[in-house]
Amino acid sequence: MLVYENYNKFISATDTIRKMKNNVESMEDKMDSLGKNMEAISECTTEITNSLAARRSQIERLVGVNKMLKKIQFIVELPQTLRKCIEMKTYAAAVNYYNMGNAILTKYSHIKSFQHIQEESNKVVGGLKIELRKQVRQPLSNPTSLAEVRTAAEMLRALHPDDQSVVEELRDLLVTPTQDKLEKDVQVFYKSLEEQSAAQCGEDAALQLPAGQIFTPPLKFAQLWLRLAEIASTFSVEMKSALSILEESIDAKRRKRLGEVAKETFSKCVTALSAQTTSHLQHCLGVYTVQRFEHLKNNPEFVGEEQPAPPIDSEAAKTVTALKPLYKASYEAADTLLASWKGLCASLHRLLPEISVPADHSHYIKFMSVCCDRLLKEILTWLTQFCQPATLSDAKRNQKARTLLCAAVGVQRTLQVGLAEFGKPIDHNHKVNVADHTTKFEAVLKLLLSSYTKLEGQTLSSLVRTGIDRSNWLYKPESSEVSAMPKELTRNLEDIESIIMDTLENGKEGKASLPADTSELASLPTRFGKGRKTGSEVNMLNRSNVFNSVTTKPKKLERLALMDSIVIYSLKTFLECIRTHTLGYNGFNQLHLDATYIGKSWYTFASKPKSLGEALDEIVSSAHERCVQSKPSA
Amino acid sequence: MFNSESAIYGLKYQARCIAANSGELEEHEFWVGTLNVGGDNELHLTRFDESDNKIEAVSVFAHDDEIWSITPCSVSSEHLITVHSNAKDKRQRATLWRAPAAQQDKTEDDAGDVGDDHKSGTLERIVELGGHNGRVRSVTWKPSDGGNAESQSSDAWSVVTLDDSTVRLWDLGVSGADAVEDSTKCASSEPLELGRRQAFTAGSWDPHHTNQFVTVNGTSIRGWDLRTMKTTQHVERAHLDTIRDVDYNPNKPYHVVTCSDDRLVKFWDLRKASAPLKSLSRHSHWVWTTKYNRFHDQLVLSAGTDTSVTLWSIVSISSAPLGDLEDPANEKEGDKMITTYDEHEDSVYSIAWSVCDAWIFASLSYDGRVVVNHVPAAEKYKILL
Repeated sequence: MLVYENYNKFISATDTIRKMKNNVESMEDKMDSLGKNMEAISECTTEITNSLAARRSQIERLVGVNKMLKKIQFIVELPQTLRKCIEMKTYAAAVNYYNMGNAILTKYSHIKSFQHIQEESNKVVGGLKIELRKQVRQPLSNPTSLAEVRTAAEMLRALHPDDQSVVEELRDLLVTPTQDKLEKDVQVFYKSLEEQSAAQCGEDAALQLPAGQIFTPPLKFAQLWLRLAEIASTFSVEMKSALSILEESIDAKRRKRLGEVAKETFSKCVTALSAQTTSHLQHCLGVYTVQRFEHLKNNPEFVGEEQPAPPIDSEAAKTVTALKPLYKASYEAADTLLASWKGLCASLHRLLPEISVPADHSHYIKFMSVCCDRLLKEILTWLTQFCQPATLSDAKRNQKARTLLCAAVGVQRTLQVGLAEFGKPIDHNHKVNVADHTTKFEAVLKLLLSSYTKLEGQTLSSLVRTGIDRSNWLYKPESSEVSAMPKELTRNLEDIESIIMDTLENGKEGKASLPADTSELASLPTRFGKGRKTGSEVNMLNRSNVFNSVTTKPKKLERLALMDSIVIYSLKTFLECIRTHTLGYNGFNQLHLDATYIGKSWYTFASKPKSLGEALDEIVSSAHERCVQSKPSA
Repeated sequence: MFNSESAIYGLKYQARCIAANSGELEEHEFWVGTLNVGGDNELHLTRFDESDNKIEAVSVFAHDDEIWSITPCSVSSEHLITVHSNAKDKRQRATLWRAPAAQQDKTEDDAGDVGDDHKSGTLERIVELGGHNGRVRSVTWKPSDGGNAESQSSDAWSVVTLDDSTVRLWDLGVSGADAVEDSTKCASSEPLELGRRQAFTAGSWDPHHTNQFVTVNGTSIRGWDLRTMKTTQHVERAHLDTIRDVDYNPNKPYHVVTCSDDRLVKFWDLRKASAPLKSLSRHSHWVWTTKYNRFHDQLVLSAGTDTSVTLWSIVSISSAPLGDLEDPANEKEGDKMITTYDEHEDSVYSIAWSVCDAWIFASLSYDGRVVVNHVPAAEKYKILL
């Protein structure tokens, strides 16, 4: 089987072997001929080489000589070439040639002519170096000159490859002028700062603003801020360029030191400038506020001759409107300074990373809080002083009362609206402390309200006392008419109420409606007849005295709260005055009539008509105790 | 240790005046008088018992007219002057009385009784200080020099009365049955031209210079020399409204305190009276009376128609020893209001420091309530130590 399957293969194998045998036979012949040819070739080449050998060494010699001559020519022409290059300003090429030539010259410097050449080329290169140095000194801030400086520096370095002193020299040439420039600029800056600060005194007159004009504080230091920013940016650019040119020749330590020195310088400048700016701003604001209020105080309506009461929209009301823009103006002023400050910080940031000035907003916060503090303090101080009681004529007292009320309204509006502006966060971490100011303002508001009610209360009390002291209560003739004093009081109270409503602009709300049950008032005639409680009974009972429940310190700027205080004060005076008199029967009846009249006319003034009733009740009871006879004599 | 609650005593009628019995140096005794238009008034001599913290009446005397003010004698515990009026005669007059000492017949079961039946006595009328222009406004007894009654000269029985427009100095002679109408000598000042509501309201005798007297009228303070009966000093517009009371500082010469209807209590140095040394503003209506503590002049009481009695510590203008200021804990001790007593429910018209103790005082409100209070213990120890 195997033989049958592979029969073809056997046959082909036999054929292949036969072919191989044939080939090998022919190959032998070929190999022989090849060998013969090779021999022939080698014979030829040997012949050629031998014949050319002499020529060849000659040629080599010549080529060598040629090169040498070229070099010598180069060396000899070196000074000339250098000069030409320098003329054509292709300094790079010059440097190159020089370096190349110099190597050889140094090597063969014992040969006199070479020495000569070397000296000459040194001279030329010397001139080049000077030129280069000159170039290096160019300002670094200009980009074109910067490129030149860079190349010049490179070339200088190339001219002195291992010379450290050159590196140092370069360093000095590049870095030092920048630093010097900075110092000079800073000095000039300080000088102008001093000048401007000193010039402050004469500027107070410039702050005189006519009343009503919005306050824009003169920003004389703004220029200096911009200047400082300029200095910083120039310095940063130049220093960066210098350092980039010097590259590795300046080590990290040196860089850091440079950075720190610069940072310190700038910090000092910034501190000095911000101190001056702060105090200047404070001063301006202080002067302005004081002026505004002085203007108000010295207003002829206050201290001049008696004048008819001016209308509501007088200076007093203007104070209210002046308060808000005042805050706004100071905020804007500080804002402008912030912009300059931010610019400065940004340019300082552009300095090398080694110089890292923190974007310190604390200075700005200081401005703001100092401005606020000073301004608000001035206002609060003046308002507190204004609340002090003083002897005034009637017209002035009216004016003062109105001013107190207007100021109270102004302060309340400030609390609601104005202080919120100061509360705006400058950035996420910093906020002006508004809570403290709010507390102070609230205290002043309370003071204003209580001063107002006291002032009005005293005016009315005066009327009450006059009215009561004038009457002869003991021997009064019979009368069925209400006396003049309560009527006058009522008129005055109506005037006061209308003034309050006008000033508050929303006093219409809260007007007490007629009590559905007027029996409180009707109960007046009966209660006094019950007779006096004995002393021991008084001790047991906890008699709530209506005159205790409402104090003269109104808590809110509200028509009813204010009117309550005034009403109670007047009624208290009424009570005290009556207690010092002795009344006859007719006198008592007159008083009773007056009290009833007051009860009916004043119910709209009081927030709780019941309290009014109780107060009048107290008055009538006291009068009854002072009454000699409860029945008319027969 | 000390019961510092207040003690209360009630009168059956309204009352306006309370005064410490200055002749009594061992017990806390106060005179109180009622003010009823219909008559039937009483003069109570009350005693405050510190251990029990109670007030009880020692004696009750009938006094028909309504009593506007009481001035006990500074050397005798039995004599006093009242300013009184009745409905028929509207004028207020001043009379010197002798109040005999109460009989010591307290029995056990009567100990707590406030009834006055068995304690009543009768006032003995000695002399009326008459001849005034209009109403007698105020009577001030010459302060005693200290020491016991026997060593007092007859000068101690001097009294200054103020009426609407004159100041009168009375020499009452020595007490007892000797004093009759004729033996009283009176020196009077020229009547002042005073406007409406400018009548005299109060006066105070200078404890350091016995010839100096200060009065207040309207809004002015006047100093007087009692030898010449002339004004030596006039402070105009000391307050904005009627001044109600004036008191001399017992330790510091020339220092007075005034209080007024303008709700302020002001301290003055009369040598330089252009402006007050200090001005206190806490009352919400008229301040009717103010008194220095007799022993420690930094304690000042003020009371008025807002029913409150306020105790102040005014160290800065007092004679408090400098040693206090060296203590670092006291550095911040400034003038301050110590406390307000609010046991009254009606206007307080009169207050009185006890004569024998620096820490006890009484106040009287219009509804007849007498309240005796203590200076808070903390303050007391601060002053003592």
